[in-house]
This record gives sequence, structure tokens and C-alpha cells, in this order.
Amino acid sequence: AYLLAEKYNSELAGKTDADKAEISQWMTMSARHGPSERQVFAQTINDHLTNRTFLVSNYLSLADLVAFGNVYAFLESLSAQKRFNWNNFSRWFDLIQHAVPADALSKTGLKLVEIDLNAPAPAKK
Amino acid sequence: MATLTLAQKGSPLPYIAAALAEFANGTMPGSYTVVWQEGNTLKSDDKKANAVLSKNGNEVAVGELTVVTEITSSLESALTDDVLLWVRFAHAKLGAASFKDLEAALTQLDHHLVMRSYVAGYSVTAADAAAWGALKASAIFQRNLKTKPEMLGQHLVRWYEHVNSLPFAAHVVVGHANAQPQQKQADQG
Repeated sequence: AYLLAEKYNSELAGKTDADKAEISQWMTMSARHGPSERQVFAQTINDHLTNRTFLVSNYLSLADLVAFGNVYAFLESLSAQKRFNWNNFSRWFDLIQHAVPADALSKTGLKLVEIDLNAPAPAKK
Repeated sequence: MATLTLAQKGSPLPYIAAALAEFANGTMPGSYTVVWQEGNTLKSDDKKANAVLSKNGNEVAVGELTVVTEITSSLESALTDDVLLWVRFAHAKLGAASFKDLEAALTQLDHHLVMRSYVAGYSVTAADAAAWGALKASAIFQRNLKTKPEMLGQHLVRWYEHVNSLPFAAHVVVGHANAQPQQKQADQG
């Protein structure tokens, strides 16, 4: 984790003042949602990511990493079908877990969650 | 040194070649000198010459398809089969002339992106660059993006806007806008 912070240090905290402020808001939100509110938080993330790849701006930041830690157990508990239903959330989760170097992930006691990427075909319009 | 020359009003607009070259420059700075030139072709006797790749002063590829093949093969180390497949998809399907074919390709890509942030793997690759380039060159896609993005599929639009915000895409757009006047045709005719 230290190497990760070292490597990305400045960018992870935000490239601009506006990004830094937004990142800090997400970190506060992560801290405020306790274990019983994971689903609410995941829903917030899912809605927010409808038209976004990362939580803040167009790059990986502390906002993603902290939120990822917060919802890890929640996503792990979801069935494949629920993961598809929450596709923005699951897609983002899969991106972040692969953005974190494998050794940093295992040092925090987490492992890659295998997520099925082949969503069911959409219903015909 | 490799120089990629592109026709500003080529048909199709050579955005796939431009995107791949600028993407390569992002990973290995200075790989390609990208020069946009005014006009719809780079050779007065060949309307298909929308892109020309030269190495050490010698033309090695003329026309976007051969140029794309050439640039892609020089990226070799970073290519997986998956990336290659999608680069081909970008050229063959997203560059489709017929609306029906394009629509089918857009639907396929939108569905592919439901659970994926990038076209291939977990970071931006040549596959994203090529697909972005093909859609940047597509008048139909650009018109729908402006007027009725809901028609295109939200996953496709989200992915496109993300890739569109990356530095290599900005380089392509700036280069295209700042095309240079055509050089004398004397040595090309």
C-alpha cells in the first residue's frame, strides 16, 4: 500500500483543487456509511457511475480506493444476478480491484472477486 | 523516425490511424510524428490516400487500413488477441458504411461495455483508441451523440465520453483542427 501511495501519490489525492474537494467528499461519505448502510452506499455509487468510469473525474483516486474498501464485503455477498442488476457498481468494483496491484490487495487481506462480465442479453425493444 | 501524414478531409476521416499513433505516443513518447494536411487526399491521383505512413523518409503504407495494420504490428508487445480482435472490429464494423451494419455494431459494443470499463482488459488499450477513432470519424454516431444519445446506449456513451476525455484523444482533435496547407505536389504526382 505504501508503494502504491508513493507511486501515485499526487494524482491519487486529486489533480485539481475541484477534484480534491470532490475526493474528500467521497471519503467522508465512505466513512459515514457503516456496515448496515452498505447497500445504500452501493446504490449511490451505482447511480453516480451511470455516465462515469471513476467516481471523480477520469482517473483513479483515493475516492475509488476508500469506497472500494468500504463496499468490498457487500459486493462479495451479491449473487451474479444482483451484480448484473447493479452493473455500474459491479463494473467499477471490477475496475478498481484490478487497478490495485495484486500484492497490495493481498496485504490488506483481500482477494480478487471473480465477476462474470458477460451480462445477459438485453430484452428486445 | 516514423511520420504519419493524414488528410484533414479524407474519406473516411483517418481517425483510427490518428488515434492509434497518438495512443502509441502516450506509451512511448515520440513514436510517431503526426501531421494533418488540408484536403481530402494526400495524393492527387489516389482518392483513397487518406493516410500515409513513412519511416526514414520512405513510404511504408498508403491508405488507412494498411497504415492501421502497420501501426498495430509495431505495438506488438502490448497487444493481446482480445485487443487485436477489437481493433479489427473498430475498422470493419464501426467504420461500416451502411447504417444498419453500424447500428448492429453499436449495439454489440454497448452490450460488451455493460460490465466493462474498457474494451479489452482493465486499462485503456489500442482497442479503445481504435474504436474511439472509428466513432469519431462516424458522422452518424457524432450526430446521434449530440442530438439523441439515449439512442446509442448508455454504456457506449459513458465509455466514449471517458475515452474522449483522455490525452491521446485531445491530441488527435487538436492535430486535426490545425491541419497544414498542402505541400507542393511536385514530388508526389
